[in-house]
Amino acid sequence: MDNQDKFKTPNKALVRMQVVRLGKILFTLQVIASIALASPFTFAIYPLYYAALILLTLFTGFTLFIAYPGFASWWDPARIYNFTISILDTWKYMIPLILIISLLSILCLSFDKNKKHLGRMLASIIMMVLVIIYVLFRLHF
Amino acid sequence: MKELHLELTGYPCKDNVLVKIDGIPMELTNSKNKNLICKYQTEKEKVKVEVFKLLDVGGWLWFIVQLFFFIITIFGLLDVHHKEKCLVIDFEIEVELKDKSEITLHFNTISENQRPIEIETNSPVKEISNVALVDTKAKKVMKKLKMAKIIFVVATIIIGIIIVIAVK
Repeated sequence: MDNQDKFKTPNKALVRMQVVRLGKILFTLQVIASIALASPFTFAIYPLYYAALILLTLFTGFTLFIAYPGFASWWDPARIYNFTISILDTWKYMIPLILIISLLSILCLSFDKNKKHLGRMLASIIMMVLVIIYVLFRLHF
Repeated sequence: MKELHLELTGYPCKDNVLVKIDGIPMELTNSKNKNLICKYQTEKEKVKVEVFKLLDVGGWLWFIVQLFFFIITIFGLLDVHHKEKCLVIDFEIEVELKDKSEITLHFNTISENQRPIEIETNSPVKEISNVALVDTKAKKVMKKLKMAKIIFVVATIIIGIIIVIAVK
């Protein structure tokens, strides 16, 4: 290739690509966070709990089993009750986080001039409404 | 005043294409049948049309942003991004303009050293280049990024092990 600079992506287009990609990532994170928050009320708690344990095990190179013999007992399904309680206690932090992520996601996705991410934006708005309903429910009861 | 109507069809990813006419980047809009279109008016007899496929590859700041994305998506597990193949389009034609010239560029599946675009026009066209190439510079950057990601994962596992041993 004789003149490589000819194919260089203009900075403006590159920034727009990254912003839109960030919007997609934030949308995924928002979905995961919403599922995590709703998981105590659904069966999603089981895959979520074990996914967290698998990640923890992998990123500590299986040493947790040796360092903490009690770690093996964490895999017991009975431990999920404690995990559920701890998730329910995090709602005061999780809800503002989900709302901020949702707003940022919608903002980032709106920068895409060529594609309208209506599905993602609509899903974000629905999730925001559900989260607000959840807050009202928690404050009321 | 002569007018050139340009239409791009069959482009797989519409958000990363750049069209230049006489070196001027054109603002593309979507037509009713979801193709990309643009209009250009000039007094000239001939114009040069160039089409580029924009790569999601940039400088050092872009590199850092990619590593940031890699971390926040839990080491790429939650990433929805397509794989960058580093293929660029080297397309350049010279069009002899009529009062109203129409050009339709049909995109083929992009593969190395193949013709990426077929031209359909009512005006005489001289094809200067029409080939898909691998951007070796971008390919090198992508290799470096892959290495950095592997180092990040290995470093995280080592730090995780050190923390567990230290806490114990």
